[in-house]
Amino acid sequence: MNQSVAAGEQEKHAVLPVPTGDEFARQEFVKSLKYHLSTRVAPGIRDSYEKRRAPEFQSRAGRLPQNRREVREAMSADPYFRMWSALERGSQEMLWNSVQVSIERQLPDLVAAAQAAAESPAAQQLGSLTLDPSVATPGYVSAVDIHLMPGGYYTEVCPGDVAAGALYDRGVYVYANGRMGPRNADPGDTAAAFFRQRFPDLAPRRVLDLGCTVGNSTLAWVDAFPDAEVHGIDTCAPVLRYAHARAESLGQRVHYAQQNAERTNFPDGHFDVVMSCLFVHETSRKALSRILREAWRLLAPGGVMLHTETPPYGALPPFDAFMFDWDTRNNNEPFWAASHELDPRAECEAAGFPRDAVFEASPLSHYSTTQSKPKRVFKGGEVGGGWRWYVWGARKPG
Amino acid sequence: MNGPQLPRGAKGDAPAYFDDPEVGKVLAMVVALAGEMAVMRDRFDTVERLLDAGEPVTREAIARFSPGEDVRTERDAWRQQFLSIVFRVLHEERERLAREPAPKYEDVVRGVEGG
Repeated sequence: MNQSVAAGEQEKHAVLPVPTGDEFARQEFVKSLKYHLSTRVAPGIRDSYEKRRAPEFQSRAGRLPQNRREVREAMSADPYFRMWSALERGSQEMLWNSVQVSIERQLPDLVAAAQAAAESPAAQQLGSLTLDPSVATPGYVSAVDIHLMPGGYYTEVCPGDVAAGALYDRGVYVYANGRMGPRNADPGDTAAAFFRQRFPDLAPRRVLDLGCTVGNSTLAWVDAFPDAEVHGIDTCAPVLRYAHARAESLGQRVHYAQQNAERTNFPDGHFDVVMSCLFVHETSRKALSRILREAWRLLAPGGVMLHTETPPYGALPPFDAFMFDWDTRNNNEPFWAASHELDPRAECEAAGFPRDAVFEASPLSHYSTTQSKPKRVFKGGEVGGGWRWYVWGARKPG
Repeated sequence: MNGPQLPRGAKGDAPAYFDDPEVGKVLAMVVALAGEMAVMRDRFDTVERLLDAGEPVTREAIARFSPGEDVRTERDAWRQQFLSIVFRVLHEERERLAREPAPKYEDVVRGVEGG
């Protein structure tokens, strides 16, 4: 299988699906389509709102829409918004399909590469892979296929399958137009840089990444703390097999295990850092409470829990919050809205952390600040230029 | 394709964007065709570049052709132009919306008070 084309600037490794010329062109089309929709089509939505739908709402209600729900009510029948939404959703469906064709052609090779990594003698592996078929897929992972990725993280189409991992790794790179870096590590890099700055006294001995999927952010912590023992857990075997083979191929030491973050089998106080990246919004209200309590249990005294997400709706003007909320109902992200309106203080306190140990911050994207040519926006509701992630969590008293 | 097939559709109900759901299906087919046309165009571009370089034009060479940054940038620009043609009617609508005056506040007050 030597048909290959440089995959943009994504870093190659043993299980990254490499597209042919045509497959690459199909992925590039999706990238261009998303860019076109966000820069040339989406800007008209605000005009349609401000000049047509908001005044209509005002005529009916005697006031302008006050929140994102009222903006949604005003916009739900707007033809321009509907057309953009249909195209945007279509681009998301095309994104995954464009990567799937490439994976199907290479799947036997990718599975073999992952198997070779997992079955090589323990002494020759940098990290490890521990699968446990008794771990059930939680309802919030399988109720719908999150962000429209067909089959989600959990579907297996053959023994030793890694397709879901390959689909996520390559798909996220195309989705982000490379602006999360050659390893899609930007959220993890940003969180690790924030952690260093905020807790300069802490040199973590053990780090745990919750809901790590293919390890995009896990590897960022290996880079940031080369002396730490880094673990990643997820409930889905296909992404873990992929994560392990990827890390080994990239020369990174990570211990991956199939476990549920709501109830792990690690001992009390085992970790100095328990973190997650883009995980919270893919869980559920009930699960999150259990995950935070489990993080409290797993942390050693003085240890830190931190979660990285896209910024909360907070004080966004109603129209911007409405646009940012698009994913909740159009991109199979059912917990998106609720997770962007969490109160970190209340959440952490309920899990056992003292209220004054809670923190939240909006650090600038590590990649956008270290790149001379930052990439442009890739989503309708986003703001151009340097962008920010949102980090929240708490430190367990020492 | 002999190997395992991946599921193509995502689990979860799709929102209804159009009063007639057939419109959404036709739209998806039009955009898919535009995508395949862009793939053909990139393939043509590859053939031309191989010819320019005096290299043999074989299916293997076309499949293996790895576009460098300059080529990718040129193709990006072509695709934006192409999409502007495909979505011309939407851009005209967006331009009309941009020219449309924002409602005068006094008119809104009158509208609200008019009952």
